Amino acid sequence: MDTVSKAHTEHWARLLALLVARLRRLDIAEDALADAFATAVRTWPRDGVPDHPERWLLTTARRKAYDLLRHESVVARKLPLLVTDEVAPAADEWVENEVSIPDERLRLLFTCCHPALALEARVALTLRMVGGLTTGEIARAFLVPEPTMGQRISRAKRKIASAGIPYRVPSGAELPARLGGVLAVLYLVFTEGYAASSGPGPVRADLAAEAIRLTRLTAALMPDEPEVAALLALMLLQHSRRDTRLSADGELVLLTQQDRARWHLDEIAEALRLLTSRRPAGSYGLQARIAAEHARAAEAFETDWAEICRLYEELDRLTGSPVVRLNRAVAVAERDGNPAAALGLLDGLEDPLGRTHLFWSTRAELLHRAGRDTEAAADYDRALELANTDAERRLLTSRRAALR
Amino acid sequence: MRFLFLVFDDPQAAAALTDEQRYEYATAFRDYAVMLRDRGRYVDSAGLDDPATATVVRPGDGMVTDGPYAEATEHLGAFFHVECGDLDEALTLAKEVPVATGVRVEIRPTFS
Repeated sequence: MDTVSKAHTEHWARLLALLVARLRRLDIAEDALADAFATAVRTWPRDGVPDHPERWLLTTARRKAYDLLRHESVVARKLPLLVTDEVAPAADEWVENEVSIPDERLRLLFTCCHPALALEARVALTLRMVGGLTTGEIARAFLVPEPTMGQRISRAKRKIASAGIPYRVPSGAELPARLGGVLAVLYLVFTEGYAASSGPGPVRADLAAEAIRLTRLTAALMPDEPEVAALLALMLLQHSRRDTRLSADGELVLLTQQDRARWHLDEIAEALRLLTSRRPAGSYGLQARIAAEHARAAEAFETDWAEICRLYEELDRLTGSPVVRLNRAVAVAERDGNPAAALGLLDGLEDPLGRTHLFWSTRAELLHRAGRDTEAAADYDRALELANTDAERRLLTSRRAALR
Repeated sequence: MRFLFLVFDDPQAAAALTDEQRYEYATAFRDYAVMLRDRGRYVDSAGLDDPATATVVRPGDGMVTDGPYAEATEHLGAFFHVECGDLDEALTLAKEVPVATGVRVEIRPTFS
């Protein structure tokens, strides 16, 4: 990686967060910092890398920001200032007086993930502002045209300023719900990397890796929040299996049939360390501990299904989620070695989950194990109608063909 | 900055309220306005009469018609205009807005 790209990865979010805090204008801060990096691309190879790249970028961006603000006061299309808790230092003083560059990235993250923004806007804004991805990169990752993504981001920036969304980490009673919202955005970026909601390819590891980078950052900034570390562990565990989720000819491979020798052991080790020191019991914590049980088993037959069932039961109680109940049923069938109790757990799930292929394919598999292949075939047909990607359809077709 | 809390009601449910329920709502409405005033957040508030009483005039030619809201599934029932530091504070206050048959409270920043 060249020096400017490296500086971009390391410094973008931190510099942007600081510029927003001082300028109280997200749009101006973003344009100015992007311009500073563009200048670096032109001048660093020619003049050499400055001694303090971060400070150089900040000074260049600040100068550019004042140019933009001056120009704007001429054309007078001013947006309201962001609401912050402190008074900004006098215009020209702050960069020179900044002894160490303070870390405002959490404020940036919570503002980008504010519930007053539409979910897709939160995702795009977080990737742009905190992740430093370009609009084009985000558009490609989510398979939408670049102008559409550009509009989505601009609208969100305008709303942050106009609607009075504060540039602040919420405190006290507000924090748990708002942190949950931030983690939901990060996890959505991650899962989008794995299960593209449409299109031919089910694995886009770049997006997943970006989600891990952002979650690692959040975990470092909020070391006392067990659910943040738990989410990081969950992502690492799922990501560690990325090379084995698809066969050489592009077919989806089930967890129990994956080649465990090709799982990324360093990532699993990091995740296990995150979990053993804390034993988190929130929603992400329990999901991560379930994933950890799978990762711990050297071979599929060594999986501790009894422990997984206990964790799923707790997760089921905590969330009341039908999807959790479905996965719990699968674990119970594995533990018992027969599908009777598992099929019982599916009672009442057809209503909330009947529109997803997972419900039908799971029930089909359990019915097959119970020797009820005629009913299983009917369920596979329902699942095939609802599957989203080609790889899912091929997997379902092959399983249906294996019925008697 | 200032925000308008627009309280939307369900017209069918509103028509079915008993006198006692209307009185309770009026009391809660007044208490809420007093709370806003005590905290220095109050700008203005009012309840709106039944949408059947609405009259519409078209700007320009001045044509007057009956209100167009007969089949609406929700109608504006009341508003509060409040002074808040930011949206988070407005959201906290808006969650406590008294509602008679409220289906939602919309929060809009205002400017003058």
